[in-house]
Amino acid sequence: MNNLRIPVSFDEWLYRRGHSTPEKKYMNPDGTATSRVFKLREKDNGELSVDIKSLTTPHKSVGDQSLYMLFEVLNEEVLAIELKTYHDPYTIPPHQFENVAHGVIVGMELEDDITPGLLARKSRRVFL
Amino acid sequence: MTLSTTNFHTYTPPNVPTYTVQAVKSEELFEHSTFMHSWDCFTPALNERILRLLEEFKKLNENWDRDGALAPDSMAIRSAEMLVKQLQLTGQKVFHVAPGPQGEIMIDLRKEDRSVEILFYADKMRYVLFPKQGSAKQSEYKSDDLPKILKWLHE
Repeated sequence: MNNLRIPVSFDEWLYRRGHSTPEKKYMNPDGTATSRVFKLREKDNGELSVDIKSLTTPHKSVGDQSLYMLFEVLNEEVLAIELKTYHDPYTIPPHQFENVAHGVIVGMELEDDITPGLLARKSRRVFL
Repeated sequence: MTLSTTNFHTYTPPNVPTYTVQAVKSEELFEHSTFMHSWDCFTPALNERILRLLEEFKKLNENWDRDGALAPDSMAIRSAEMLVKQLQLTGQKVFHVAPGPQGEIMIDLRKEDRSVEILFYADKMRYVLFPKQGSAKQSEYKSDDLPKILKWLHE
């Protein structure tokens, strides 16, 4: 982990994108996120990607609306379950695609199925 | 006939005051058996949407979410289908089912402010209890656990 990263304030909202095409219905019937939206992957290296709401827009964060839905969770709720959140802006060469709003949630493990469920239950859908 | 609960599990509908107890032989719950085949004659209406979704998940390939998710494990889907049919017998509606990035299948059961997630991975099964208050609890799932899970959900 980069120790120079800045912790995200408790009152920030965090965006998390979930794959959901209309015909596949990967989201809950009431439109809320399933726990799988917040499930850690091996490639995540222990850090779940989010966007920090105040540094982006919902449209920019969700990208392709035909493929993804957007959810938001208050950072205070994330910190309350003993996770940490950091601002983690990045640039990917050679195209220099950058995401200045990028952040990470740290503290989950691959074998953890409690935290994804808690985050999903604390989140709400962002309507675009 | 007298059934010993050592050898059989009984599944009782959670919201029905009078009911007929149905017995399923424990060791045959997760195997091909005449009991499993006989479930096909039960109407799937209660969880028809869920069974249809599981059928659709069989068609998902690697990277189905364009973020590197593994294709749903075939055994995980089969186990999920069996559990949904078991739940059908109890009258328990499944809230939702979803594929996960590690090839797992998640079954979500809800009752007011309580919920349970039962997860089938390629190499393990587990369940998580989400109470209204207090800490959630994650445990390894065995087929024997279903009656106590449903009891907790409807307490």
